[in-house]
Amino acid sequence: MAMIEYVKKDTIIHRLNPITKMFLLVAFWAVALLMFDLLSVILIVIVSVVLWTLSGISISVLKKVFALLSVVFVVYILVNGFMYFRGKTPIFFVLGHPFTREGLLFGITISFKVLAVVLLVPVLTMTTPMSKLMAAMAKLKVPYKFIFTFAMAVRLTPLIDQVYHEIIEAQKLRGHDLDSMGLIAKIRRGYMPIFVPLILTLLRRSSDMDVAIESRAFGAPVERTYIEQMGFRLSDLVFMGLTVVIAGSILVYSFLYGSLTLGVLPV
Amino acid sequence: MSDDYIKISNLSFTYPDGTLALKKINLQVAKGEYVVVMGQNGAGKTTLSLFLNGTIPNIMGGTVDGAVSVAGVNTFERPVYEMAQKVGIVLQDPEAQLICSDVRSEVAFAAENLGLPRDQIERRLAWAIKTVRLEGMEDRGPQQLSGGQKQRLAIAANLVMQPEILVLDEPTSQLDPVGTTEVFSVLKELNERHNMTVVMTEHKSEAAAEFGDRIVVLNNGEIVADGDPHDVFARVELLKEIFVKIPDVTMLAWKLKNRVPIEKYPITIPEAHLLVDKIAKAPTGMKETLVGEKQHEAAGRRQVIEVEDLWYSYPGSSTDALAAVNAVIYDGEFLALIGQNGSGKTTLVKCLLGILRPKKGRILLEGGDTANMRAGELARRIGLVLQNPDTQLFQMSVEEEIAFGLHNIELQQNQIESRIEEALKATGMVTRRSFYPFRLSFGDRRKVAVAAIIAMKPQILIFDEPTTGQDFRGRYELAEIAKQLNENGSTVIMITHDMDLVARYAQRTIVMGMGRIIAEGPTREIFKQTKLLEQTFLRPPQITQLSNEMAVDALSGALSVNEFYSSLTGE
Repeated sequence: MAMIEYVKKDTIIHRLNPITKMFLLVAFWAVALLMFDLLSVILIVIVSVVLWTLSGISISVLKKVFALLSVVFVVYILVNGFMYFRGKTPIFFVLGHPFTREGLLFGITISFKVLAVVLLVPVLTMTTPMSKLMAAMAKLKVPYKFIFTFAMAVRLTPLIDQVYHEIIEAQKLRGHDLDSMGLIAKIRRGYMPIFVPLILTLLRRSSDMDVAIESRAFGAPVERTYIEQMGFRLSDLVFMGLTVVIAGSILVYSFLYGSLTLGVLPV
Repeated sequence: MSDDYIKISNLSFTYPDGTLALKKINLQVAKGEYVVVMGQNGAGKTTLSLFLNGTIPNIMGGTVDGAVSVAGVNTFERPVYEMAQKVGIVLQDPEAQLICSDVRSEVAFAAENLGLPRDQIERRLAWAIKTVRLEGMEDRGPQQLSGGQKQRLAIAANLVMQPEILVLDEPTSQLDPVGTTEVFSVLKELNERHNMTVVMTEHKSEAAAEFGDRIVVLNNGEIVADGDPHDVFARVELLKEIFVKIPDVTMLAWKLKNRVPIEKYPITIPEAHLLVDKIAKAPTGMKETLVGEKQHEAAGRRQVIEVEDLWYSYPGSSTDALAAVNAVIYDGEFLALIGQNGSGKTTLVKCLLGILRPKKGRILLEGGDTANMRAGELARRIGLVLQNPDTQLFQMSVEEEIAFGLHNIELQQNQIESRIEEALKATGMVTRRSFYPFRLSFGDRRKVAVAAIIAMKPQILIFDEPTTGQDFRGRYELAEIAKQLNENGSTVIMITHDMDLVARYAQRTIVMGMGRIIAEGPTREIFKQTKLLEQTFLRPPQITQLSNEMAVDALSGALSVNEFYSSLTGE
């Protein structure tokens, strides 16, 4: 869960108004999702790496995510290489099936799209304390019930993760060792002893949480205060401007030279 | 405000599942009073607490009769957010009541919900954080706080609404002694300096005696005693019957009552001195020996586990969780492992079980290096009973729960059945064999977890904090099971913060601190080293403290009221 947890630092990205960061995130996400052009998508990945560098957070916190993604990418590339419907230039054959150049490129493009989308999230979440994020959402007129649910989900993720690992260790003491099971054994009888206690434990906790939340005046029929204050500074304007320029240029470039159709690179 | 600042009249309550939790309760609390509510689990303490801020009946429903008014306001008719500004509430589980991602937002949460002006919130926030002594930790997340810090944070999160009453439901039952001390001292200060009315449920009698102005004892939903702690604790017969712990010194005075006139029963150590110093002229020395002491010497002292120069540090941490640990565990002994959270107890046990691999050093189990054994094999030979049974229970019946581990270690069906019977008997769960574990009380769920482990017949049994979340009766039930197993030949290691338990059961004690073993020896000898224990925030049982403070050497080191009594009187 290291991917979303706030890391305290004092960098230009940390100091930005969360609304600026949200704008940035949404704009580049939109471009990444719209474009099926490899170069544009790579550009977005580069932009996110630059943002990462500016935020002073070591990209190595994403190690686990990268490990998981690389498996996904291999699958994408293999599936598309063999199955892409526009594939026509074979590179090699496996049992008579062609692995095509177009499919390969498409697989790579999709992989980079996913990478871009994933890389951008922590630029917001890891540099913004939850309280500021909530205040920013409130500024954007998001209903408080939604903001609160979102905040609780973020608060609960590490807690669930911790309980999950406690349970795995606890069941090991009864000779139930998930790690040493084969895939089929895992599916057949591996997870029940883990997930049932997890759900029951959370159920028990949730009624306590309910009392805690209600007894802290949650739902009082007044306009809620947010102690976090945030203004827009010059740096916010600069970042928003840059976002518009970069995202806009990629769009324009794609319209003019690339293709918005599922065409990949102009070949 | 007068005496009826909190006024509960004829209050009865039945939960939707039919449990009658409170029966015609009448209680009045004056402003600024510090009331401790005691009683077994299931006596109605939590239900009573939840009534005080209107959580019952406004959030949790049931059948209610009677009335509750706080500061002149009827709690039934006002929404909880309004009552919350008068009555703050702190629950047992430190984890479940923190809802924000950092200390500052946690404290501000309630005030923000109330829509207070920003500068006012900032002022209250600073005050609340300072009062609970969490300054400098404003940016920390819940994961970076200790149990004691979490509970103090929960207090601060209520203080920001400036309540006049704080209700705390067993706030320290899941904390170690340091955390407990921190929480109690914050409460004391709030009560004394800010005239905060405190209503706290608690099992720890010595703490109740020290802090409370008044004790209310609940049993089966009824108030059975209410008054000055001296008077309430003097009702020895009643309290024994309903399993409420009597402070050691009060118990001692009760035993002495036929020899000396007692006007007022002592509840604290200084009070006890006034009584016993008069009698302690002709001490006769210890007569009764600790149950296991003789047996222990006769055990032959065969070593089952040898720990040699063990080092461990957690990934990403620069401090050593274990540093140069050398220890021996003897066959058939009952050993206590004590020390603060973070002292290395759990790390040591995890190394024993092969869950963690030590950085340096080795562990020999009956002469064989555990590094060469698989975790599964170790688990079969060393059983660990965890603090929280809910991380393990998932079956539909107690029997199936016990069978689970036995299937995992691939026993024959007939063997499994006989082991289930044995385990059910050993834990006293025979009549509840077909019950759904989730529906059992916490104490019984722990017993199921114990049964599941002992059915696997490990040679060495480790109990991790058997008293957490338990009442006075529950903590001894589990220890009695351990004692029985020990008498039948198992080696028992008990990790605990409960010094009463150590005094009563452990023949030998190992004290850990900062990843090292700082003392080791017979429990009696360890408990004489008051200074050393103080460093680790551990306090021996009240009676041991009293006996260590006696001027006559022959009177020191008593581990039970009976021991002290007999050496005092020569009986």
